[in-house]
Amino acid sequence: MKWIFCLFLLFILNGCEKSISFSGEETKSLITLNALAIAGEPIKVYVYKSLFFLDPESWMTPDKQILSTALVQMTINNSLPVKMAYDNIDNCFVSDYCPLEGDQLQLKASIEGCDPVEANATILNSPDFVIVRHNSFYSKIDHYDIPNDDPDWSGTDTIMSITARLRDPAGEKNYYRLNVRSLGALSDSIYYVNDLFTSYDIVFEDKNLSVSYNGWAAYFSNVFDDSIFDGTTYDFTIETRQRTSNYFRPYVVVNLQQISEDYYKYLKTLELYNCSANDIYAEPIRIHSNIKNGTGIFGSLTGTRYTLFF
Amino acid sequence: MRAFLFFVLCKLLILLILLIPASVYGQNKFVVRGVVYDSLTGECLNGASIISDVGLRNTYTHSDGTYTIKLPKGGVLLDFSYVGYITQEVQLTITCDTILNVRLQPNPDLDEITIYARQSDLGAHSTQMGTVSIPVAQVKKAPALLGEPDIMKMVQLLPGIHSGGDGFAGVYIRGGSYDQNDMTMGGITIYNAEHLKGFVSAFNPDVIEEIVVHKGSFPARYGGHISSVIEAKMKDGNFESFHGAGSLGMLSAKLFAEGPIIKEQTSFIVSARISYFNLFTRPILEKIYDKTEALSQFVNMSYFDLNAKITHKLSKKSKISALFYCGGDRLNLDGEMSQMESQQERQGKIETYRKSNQEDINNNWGNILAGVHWNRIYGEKTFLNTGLYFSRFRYELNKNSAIKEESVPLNNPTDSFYQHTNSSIKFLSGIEDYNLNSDVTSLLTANNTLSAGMKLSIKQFSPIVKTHRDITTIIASSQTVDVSDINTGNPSKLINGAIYVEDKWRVNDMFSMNMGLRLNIYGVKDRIYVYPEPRVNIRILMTDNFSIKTSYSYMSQAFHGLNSANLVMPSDIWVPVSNQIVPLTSHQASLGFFYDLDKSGIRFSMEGYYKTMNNVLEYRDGITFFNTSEGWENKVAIGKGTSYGVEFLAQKSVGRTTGWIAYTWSKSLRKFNREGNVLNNGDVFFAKNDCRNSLSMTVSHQISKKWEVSGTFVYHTGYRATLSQVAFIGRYIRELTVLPVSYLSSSREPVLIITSGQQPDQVNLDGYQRLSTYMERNGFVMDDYHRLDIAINYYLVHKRGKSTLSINIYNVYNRMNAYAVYPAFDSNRYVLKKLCLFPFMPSLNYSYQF
Repeated sequence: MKWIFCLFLLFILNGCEKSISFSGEETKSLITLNALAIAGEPIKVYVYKSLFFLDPESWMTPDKQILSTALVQMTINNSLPVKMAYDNIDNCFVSDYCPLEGDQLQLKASIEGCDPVEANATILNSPDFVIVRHNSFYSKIDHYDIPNDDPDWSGTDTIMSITARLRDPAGEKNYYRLNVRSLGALSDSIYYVNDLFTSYDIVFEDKNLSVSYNGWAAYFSNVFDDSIFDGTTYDFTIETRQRTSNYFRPYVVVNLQQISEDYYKYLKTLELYNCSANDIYAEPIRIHSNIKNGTGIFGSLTGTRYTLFF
Repeated sequence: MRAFLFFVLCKLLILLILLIPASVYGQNKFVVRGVVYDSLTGECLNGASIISDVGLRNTYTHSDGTYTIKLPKGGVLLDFSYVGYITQEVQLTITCDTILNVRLQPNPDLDEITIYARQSDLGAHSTQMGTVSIPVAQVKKAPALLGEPDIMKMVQLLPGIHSGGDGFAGVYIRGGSYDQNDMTMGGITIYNAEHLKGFVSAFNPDVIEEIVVHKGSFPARYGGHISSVIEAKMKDGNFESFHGAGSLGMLSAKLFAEGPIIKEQTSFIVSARISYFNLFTRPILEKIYDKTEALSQFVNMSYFDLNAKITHKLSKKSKISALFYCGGDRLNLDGEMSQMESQQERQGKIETYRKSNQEDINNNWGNILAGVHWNRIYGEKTFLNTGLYFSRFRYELNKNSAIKEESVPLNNPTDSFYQHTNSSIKFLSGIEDYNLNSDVTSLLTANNTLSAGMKLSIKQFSPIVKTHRDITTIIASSQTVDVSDINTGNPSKLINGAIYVEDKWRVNDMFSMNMGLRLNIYGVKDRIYVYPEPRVNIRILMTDNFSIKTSYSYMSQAFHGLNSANLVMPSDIWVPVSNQIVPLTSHQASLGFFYDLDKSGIRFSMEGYYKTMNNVLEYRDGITFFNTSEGWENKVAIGKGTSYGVEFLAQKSVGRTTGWIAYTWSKSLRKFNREGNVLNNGDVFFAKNDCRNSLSMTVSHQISKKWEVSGTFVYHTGYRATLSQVAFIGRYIRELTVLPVSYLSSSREPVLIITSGQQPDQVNLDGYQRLSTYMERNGFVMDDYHRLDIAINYYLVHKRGKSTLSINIYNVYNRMNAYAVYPAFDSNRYVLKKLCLFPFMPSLNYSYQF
């Protein structure tokens, strides 16, 4: 009888969810580099250490992960490496050099306790991009929750439809990011900035982004490659909207950026990451990195921008 | 391509060369054929041995009890034997082709002591390798989770075979995935052979006679799946007398009946199971779980299944049987309801705000199988088997929600706002398979058997998502209704035609081979795929007990079951190949050593295999398990797989003590580096089902006529998973906000530094985000898995019938094997947690047979 009782006790007291110690090989801290090389702009390199995902510090502010004492060097077109200085205000390493189109850059970073890392990027040419036409119109917003007497909600958007033309160089794979920012203001302290835009053009369709995220529509991405228009001239139309701007005439900044392949892949994985962040059934994501022995990204970007008034 | 055609032509030439002398060789011999029956039940005996005293002229009966042996003219002594039966000797003088039917009597001296292990001959003498047979008697005696004997869980104990998780019945064979297994019941493919989301297999041991698992070296008669063929051979009913059985366990109740409809001519067998997981097991499990949500996916689940078969002997040479299976699972999650009411101020007005939300989920899935099978012997040397089959798997998930929102101003109720939103999503996934098979086997000579056959199958796939939403809004007595219906996904068809030719040739006492060629043709919309598939098995009998075998097979498969985890979920989506996704193919070569111990029924085998798979699919990073119906081709990446390993098996199937020991060392790798299909940076990674070491032992021992004890021990390297182990800070672009420093009041246009042209960008990585990433796909290995199960069976003989009481203890030493591992917070710490579904778990089962 005693053994039956013991078995029963074992059965009842048995909890089936246990905290376990991590039995695999714990990932050691890696150097994380985040840098974007832009023609004509001094380069800023943000250097952190990555943490093992169970490390409590991984949930704290990034200040503790900054590697301000790291040795960060930049090599330009295979010349001698130049040490980058740490900027305490921006918490990043900076260089005086403003790279030119076609420059080949290499970053190296090292610090005791982590494997040294390196990454390469080439400054790209600015894209051949023009605005073909643009026009503004108004769209009434039907929503029950907008009272007519609310000054912040006029219920009417100003929409700008913009048709742009991109001439894609033939014989090479090109990657782009389109930023369309509309700005308006009600006063010198109340202003509206909108980076979202819409388009029915297939170039912005991304079938992997199955849910809406950060305000973007599902299946929509402003990061794309030239696979459907390689080597041709391609026209596309987008729409952006601005609610109101009594303080100054609202305007739109359209900026088409040619980005490096690695940076394109990084942004694509980041989009997926944000898109599936709340989906427990989603497959895990490996965020693209071109940092050898580390994490992060060293990308390059060159843009062509236009300002258009509503 | 030319090299391949040359290879195929060479194979055919070899086949022809082999056939010509073989045909000439048997001119002065006669055929003896017949059927071996059980003298009490009239049931055909599968695997009975027929040994002649002329040289080494031996053979075994087929699954329908038939045998054929070619013998020289003159006197001959034939021994008919079968484990558990009295050996019968027959003296014959052969002057012409002869029919000899034999009825073997069960051996009363061995009753209850010897395990009557009915199984196909796959030992040292057979040319077949990569194939294991499990007698169902062994399954019934082995320890079982919650007392439910399960054929597939026994299959998992064989070398080279892994389960998807603790307690799950799904199988992963030699590095392949679940959808690559052709699981058949009575010859009909069953697409989801699981109940309770994988806890119980759909194969009811009461109606199954034997399980044969082909892991490789497939003869040409098999095709359409690249990983394995798992045949659950169904019993014929008893042709002589009525029998029945009933059992009660912690998970389900079962009823079984069999008997003659027309004595010695027509028989039936029927068995049904119904579960009561909710009533009995769930409340007990809830007591032991400190994370009751772990059970949420199994709450309110229930299943049933029904097997029936009628067999009619049309003549001494012909038999027809009809079989039917229907199984279903149901999961109803109680409707979740939330309500709130508050008073709030809005633009200076007080209003009452009410909101209610109701959600419910209905989830059903199941299979229906139906088929007619006819076999006939023509003349003295030719057997014809023809089957017409239907198989359907259907999965349906309905999620409904209703949201009501109301705000009524206190001082002006007519200015109220009311909104009612009904939404539903119906997720349908199914496959319907219509199948016609016909095979002819002809004994050309005593040493040469030629088989040929055809198969025509039409599969209809229907992964569909239907969404509906209607919103009724009433503002100040003015009503608007907005209705939207969206259906995504389209049914698609796959037509598969196949022909094959196969020759079993015993060159001499030492060499025998099975060579064949299968031609598979797949037709999908706008595309036809043709795959000639050569198959070769060669056996070299070194001594009477020891043989070396080698084999090669090329296989193709034209549909996929998409799933995101290594769990066999009924919601797996079945999809055919398309213009973009081409069929799966595999090459598999193996080499093995086989040794049979004389008379003791012990067999040893050691096999090594190397398998490559092309066009395997995996979900891309970040793709969600649901929402896959639309454009599923875009959700998956195509790549290659390689698996290799060594398997050892020692099996004893006769005597008081039966069972086996199996050990496997294996590796399973994937590489996805094609353009647009890159996973894991294009580097090689381990497959989810990769398992380095695996050891299993299952033993049953008959202590006396009344008592029997059995045990199972399983050990294997832990399951693999992808864990984002690296946390880091990522920076993102925040475009410079160009705010006006001043503006021209007349034009109200801001003064901008940059107006147009190719100017440098003013972008910077000002934003930051905490990110986590994995460094290697499936790079995390959970703790090693091991457990010991014990069962004690007590048999009691009554005046009419007998009963069995079984006590099963699953996981005797309470090993906390991980079902899942996930990061979570515990005491304000970020920790890794594991969920163990099946700790120490005793159960009782009672059955009565008459």
